[in-house]
Amino acid sequence: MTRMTTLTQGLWTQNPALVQLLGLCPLLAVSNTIATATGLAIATLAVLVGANLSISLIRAWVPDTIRLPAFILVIAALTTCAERLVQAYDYNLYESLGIFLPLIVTNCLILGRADALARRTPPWASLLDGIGQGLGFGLALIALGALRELAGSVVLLAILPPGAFIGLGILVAAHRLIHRRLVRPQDPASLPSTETKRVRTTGDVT
Amino acid sequence: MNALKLAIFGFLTSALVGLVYVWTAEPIAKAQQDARDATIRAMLSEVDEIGLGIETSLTDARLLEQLGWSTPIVIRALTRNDAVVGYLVPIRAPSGYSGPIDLILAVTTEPRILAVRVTTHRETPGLGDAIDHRKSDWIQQFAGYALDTHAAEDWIVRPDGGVIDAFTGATITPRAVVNGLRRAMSALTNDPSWPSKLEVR
Repeated sequence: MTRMTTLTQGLWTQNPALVQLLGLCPLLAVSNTIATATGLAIATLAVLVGANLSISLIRAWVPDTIRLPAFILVIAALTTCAERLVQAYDYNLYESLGIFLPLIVTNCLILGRADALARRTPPWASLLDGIGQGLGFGLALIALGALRELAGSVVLLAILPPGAFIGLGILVAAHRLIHRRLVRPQDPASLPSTETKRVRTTGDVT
Repeated sequence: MNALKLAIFGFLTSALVGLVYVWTAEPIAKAQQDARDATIRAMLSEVDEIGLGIETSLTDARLLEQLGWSTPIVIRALTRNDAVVGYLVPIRAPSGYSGPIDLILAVTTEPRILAVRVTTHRETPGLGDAIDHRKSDWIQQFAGYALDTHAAEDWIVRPDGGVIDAFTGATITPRAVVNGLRRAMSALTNDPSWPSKLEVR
């Protein structure tokens, strides 16, 4: 897999939020404004990149039996650091993100990437994957935040919790439509499959 | 062997967290103080012609305990036309859903509640966080409250037999706040000479 496809996978073809539908809890909860969405996007990106890189670096050391507790330790430590840093340098953001900042630790995207990719991939590729997946998640989060904030000035529902589900549905539909337009002419096989295995997070989806 | 490795990971990651904790301790304390000051300013702007007087410290262990603290606190005088008319008393309600809830209470010398605000809490977003004045005006109902003019049930949440509204799905949070307020106000009311225990800093 080339470096470029590692990045575009996270950003587009395997976008964690729009294709894999991972990390929906924070995605739906803090996407009501662009500001909070951006804040959580950056924090998640930082933790994901840090976790991917450090887990890749220690991968030879971690036996299979203790890999999950070891990964969780790494992710939890990085999340706690991210929380402290946000609290120290942007207190308003810390207050508006509230519980969803520490909850990054339970974002299945991060553990998913650690377990599926970083533990058997060299540091450089893991780093790129973290950047790609993190940016993909973050951009989807910001897009949803922008959509809800803009629509919210017209329809109040967009700001309320149901607006998050409706907005995400619109984004997923838009992603599929655009993807179909872009890809079908040359290569029908690279369409995101409609079978259920598409949402698998471990291993290569073929 | 695996256990040892896991222990090493635990040690290393804790060391990282510890480093960041020490590094960020000062900026976080400052940010919290700034946020608290802003809350107090906004709260006092709703009370007529009130100003901030001198800072004093409270070290009386018994009174501190009833206000929810185990270490000395700073109490600021409230003034009107240069006369002390009340105090800003920080209180801590210990039994919130996710840890203690810190409040700042503005009381007159009688004592009657002028205003009260939550300064720090970790309550559930969307449920318990309605105690936060930025989320709902629930906390504002306590303005004007005093023990001698308000009956006992005015200091108890509805699920416990009182008249104070709790939130659907989150009774523990408002109960903690109301109980904390009641305890603090009883302490101040039952000991009318409490301001004499304040020490100028």
